[in-house]
Amino acid sequence: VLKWLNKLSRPLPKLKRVLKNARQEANEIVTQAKKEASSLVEQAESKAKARAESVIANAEEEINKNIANARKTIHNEAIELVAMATEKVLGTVVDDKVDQSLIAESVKESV
Amino acid sequence: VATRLSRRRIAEYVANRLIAGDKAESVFLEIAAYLKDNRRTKEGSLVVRDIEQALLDRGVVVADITSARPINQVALEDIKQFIAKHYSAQRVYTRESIDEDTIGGFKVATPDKELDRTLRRYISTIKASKV
Repeated sequence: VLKWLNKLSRPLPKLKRVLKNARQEANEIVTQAKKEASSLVEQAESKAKARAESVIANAEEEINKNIANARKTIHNEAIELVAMATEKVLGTVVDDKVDQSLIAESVKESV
Repeated sequence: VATRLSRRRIAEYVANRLIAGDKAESVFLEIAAYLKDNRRTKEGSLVVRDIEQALLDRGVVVADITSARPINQVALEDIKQFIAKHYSAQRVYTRESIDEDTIGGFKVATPDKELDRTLRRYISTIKASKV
C-alpha cells in the first residue's frame, strides 16, 4: 500500500508540463496587463496635459483680448476727453482778436 | 413749340450775360420769371449752383465763407486773393456767413472744392483718431 501511495504522490510528468505552461501563460497575461495599464495611464496623462494646455491657451487668448479691448476703450475715452477739453478751452480762449489772427495765420498757411 | 432749356444752358446764358457786364438784378429777374412761367421754381437752387459752376469755368469764383465771427476786411481780402490765385480767377465774389459752432478759423466752399480751416474741424480730426 505504501508503495502505491508513494507512486500516487509523485506528480505525473504530463501534469507537470501542464502546470508549467499554465504558470508561463499566467505570467504573460500579467505582463501584458501591466503593459496595457501603463499605456492607458500614459494616454490619460497625455490627454489631460493636452486639455490643460488648451485651457491655458484659451485663457491667455481671452486675457489678451480683454487687455486689448481695455486699452482701446481707454485710448478712445482719452481722445474724447481731450476733444471735449480742447473744445471747452478754445470756446473760452478764442475771442475776436485771437480768431482774426488765427484766420490770418490759416490763410498764410494755405497760400 | 417752346423747347425746354436745360439747367446747363440757362447757367451758361446767365454766366455769359453777367460776365458781359449786364446788371445781375435784371438777369436774375429774367431767369426767375422763366422758371416761374415754366413751373420750374423747384430747380432754383440747382440753377444757382450751375450758374456758379459756369462762372467758375469762366474765371469768376463765387465762394461761401463761414466763420464763428465776422471776418475783418484785411483777412477777407487775403482769402479772396488766395482763392483768386488758387483758381487763376479774374474775379472772386464771396458770401459770408456766421456759424458759431465752427468755434474759430474759417471755411471756404467753392462750387467744386472746400477748404475747412475751422477749429471745429481740428476737434473732429482729434476725434477721428479713435480706434
